[in-house]
Amino acid sequence: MITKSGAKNFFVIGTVLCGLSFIGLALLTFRAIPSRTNVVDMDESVIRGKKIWERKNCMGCHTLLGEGGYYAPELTKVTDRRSSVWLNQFLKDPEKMYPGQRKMTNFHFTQEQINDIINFLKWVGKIDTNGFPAEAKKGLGAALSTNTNIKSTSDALQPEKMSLCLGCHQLGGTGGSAGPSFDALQFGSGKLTKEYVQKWLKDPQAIKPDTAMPNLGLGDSDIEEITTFLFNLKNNK
Amino acid sequence: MIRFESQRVAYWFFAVSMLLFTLQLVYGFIMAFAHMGYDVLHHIIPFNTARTVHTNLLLMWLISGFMGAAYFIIPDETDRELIMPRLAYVQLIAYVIVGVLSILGFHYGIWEGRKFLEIPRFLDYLVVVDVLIFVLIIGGTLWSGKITTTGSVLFFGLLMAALLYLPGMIDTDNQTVDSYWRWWVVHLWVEGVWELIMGAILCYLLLKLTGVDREIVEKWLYVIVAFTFLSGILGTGHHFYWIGTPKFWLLIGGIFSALEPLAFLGMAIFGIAMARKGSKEIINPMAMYWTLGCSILSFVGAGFLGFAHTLPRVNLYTHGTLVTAMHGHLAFWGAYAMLILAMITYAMPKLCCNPRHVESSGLNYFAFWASNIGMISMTLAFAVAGVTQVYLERIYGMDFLAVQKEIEVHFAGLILAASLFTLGILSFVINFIRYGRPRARVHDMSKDYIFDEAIDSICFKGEENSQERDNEMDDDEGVYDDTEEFDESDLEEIDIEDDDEYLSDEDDELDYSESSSMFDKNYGAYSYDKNTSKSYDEDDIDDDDDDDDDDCRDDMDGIDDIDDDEDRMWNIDDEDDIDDDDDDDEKGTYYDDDDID
Repeated sequence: MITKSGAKNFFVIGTVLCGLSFIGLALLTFRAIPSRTNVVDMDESVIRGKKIWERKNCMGCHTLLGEGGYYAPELTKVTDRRSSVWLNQFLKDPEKMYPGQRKMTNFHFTQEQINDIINFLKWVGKIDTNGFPAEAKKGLGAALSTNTNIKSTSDALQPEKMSLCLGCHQLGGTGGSAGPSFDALQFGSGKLTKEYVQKWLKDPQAIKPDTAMPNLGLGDSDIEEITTFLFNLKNNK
Repeated sequence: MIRFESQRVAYWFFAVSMLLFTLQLVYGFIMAFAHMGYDVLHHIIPFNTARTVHTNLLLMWLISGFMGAAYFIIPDETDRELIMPRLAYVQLIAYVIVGVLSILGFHYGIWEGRKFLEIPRFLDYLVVVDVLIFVLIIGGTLWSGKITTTGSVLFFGLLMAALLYLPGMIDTDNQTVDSYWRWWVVHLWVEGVWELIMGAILCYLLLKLTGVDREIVEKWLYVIVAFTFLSGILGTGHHFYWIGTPKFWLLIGGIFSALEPLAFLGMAIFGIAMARKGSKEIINPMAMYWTLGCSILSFVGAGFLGFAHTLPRVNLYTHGTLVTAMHGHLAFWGAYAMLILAMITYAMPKLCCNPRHVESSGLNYFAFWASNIGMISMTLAFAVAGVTQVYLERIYGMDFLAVQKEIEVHFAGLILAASLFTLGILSFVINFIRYGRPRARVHDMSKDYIFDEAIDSICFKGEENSQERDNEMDDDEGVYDDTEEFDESDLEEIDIEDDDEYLSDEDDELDYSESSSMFDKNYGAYSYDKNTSKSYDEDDIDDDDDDDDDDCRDDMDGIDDIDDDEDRMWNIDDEDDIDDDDDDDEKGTYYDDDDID
């Protein structure tokens, strides 16, 4: 059986060896970090964004690189999932984007601060994370810009304007899952007349008070553009 | 019965622990309700504030508990008074100030926004100074006293914990580097040096409770802490899988963190084996319950549940979900919270020389089972919610908020379990309050240590025969006895410090009437007449002072030379301050008591 001094030596030698290896690996880690995190892209705006991230304790609810509060969405690859337009709209008034759902504090950011945060999140999104977060089976996290399945006769609609919708709705198999898929909705049949859809886009809560669809504050020309786009989708009769 | 005057400071650290722990539960409920969709306090205490306060209170009360435990254990192990015992009180007050300022600041957005290390930078410096004072007192005491393995492992753990706070203060603009250093603090604390502290405290408790030979117990302590560092240091790698650090961490972190349960398994086997080996009659069974509970549940919570999601293939999906919350709750409860509760259960009868043993164990017994069943059920609720989240969100790609809606129901279960847990903890706190204040007379050092234990057993087991016990007590002047008429000969035996406390107790009617009525009912012998004592105090203070000083000279050789008057002045002032503090605390928790009833 091991003696007390034997046990002590085991402790001391083991600790020293592990400690030294740990420090050696720390050196290797620091040599690899600049290229893995694209330090060259870390401009003033990204750094300001990080400061805002810390000052507002975003980590108290959200997770970034998987670390945080588990109360709000993981944001490591958020810029793949949500367009800058969407994030911009959201950060101006978070509760408005998710009516009646889990609340985020409205920090009343200035436009410059919002840009900094988005730039910071874009930079984080490019960090080589060894594959985290895992791609879900349905491939819902796919980048919106690479969507080539959209079949519409309307060329008028700007892709980033549509990206506001695709945070929740699916189109051509990609997009969010919070709202009904545009692929499944039959625009022009049933109650989905052009007038109804336009009225809906103007103020969803006026038609259905408990809906999760946000009032995006769209202007008449935007609404016209979107409805034209939707009613020209190929799956419509 | 404590052996050294300065061990009393431990009581105040434990009291701070109990208060902060109770407060921590409140913020836990706020978060659980928010998860269920009832975030009614959103505009006053948003989730990030609640979470920050919840986790920081945890760290604060555990560290306060560790400090109290160290102040209790180190004099006993080194066989001498603490050096500079007053500084220990200063350190406590500074600690409380830093804690209160941090918690208040969190409500006004004064924080760093870095998980677990939210304390703002300017308070970080105060934390460092405070901990340095603590390390100085403990280290100095160890240096000038008898050095035992238990004492030195405890000191080494505390020193390393203090040093490892520093990497968290390195400024960086790179999120990956930020995260990297943060885990140096958080991981190397809870899965590294804190385990040393835990091992040492467990070792001390097992030595005292089981009476197994020191050589054997301390040999296993070395083996356990060796496994802790062998696995824990490189096991830090499991935090470096996905944060932008190199891929070799997947391999190193995976292998070494898979070994981490071994250290905890060691603690569990150690606890059980020593308890079986021990031939000593256990006079404080609840301390044994908490000690064994700690050693076993730390293996389940920290070891097993940690292992369950530490391998990279699993962690890729579970990282950053409620699965982590599941592991975190049972790990902290098993390894550290129960350890502090074990230490408190062991130390309180000695600190307060209050023979509530038999009677108190009922409430403590309830606290043990209610809090453990509550916490295990909470862990199960987190587990179901977490695993569901992993499948729906990470594997099938459902929207985050949609998944959160699906798992709301598990938080209803969580709240039920948490209520049971809270009931247990409140019982523990009530039991703590009922012990009263530290008033134990210091054991006469000229006598053999075994004798101290003998007094304990008389003190705690022979209440029924109060007459008989009184006689015995008078002989060895160990236990202070305020039952009989206060005639001159008795008075000389009463420790002046205790009387000071009684003076400061004057406006503490709530607490007092409470505890004295308890005593009246169960131990008539221990009831205490305030008026008698007070008048005695005024009249006979001089005589007594001399006696006291004589006593102290023998025991407190480490204390700087201060003339008698100053010494006395200080005692009164300081104890007053702390008493006031504690009055609030106790009243605060006392209302909780009402709630339960």
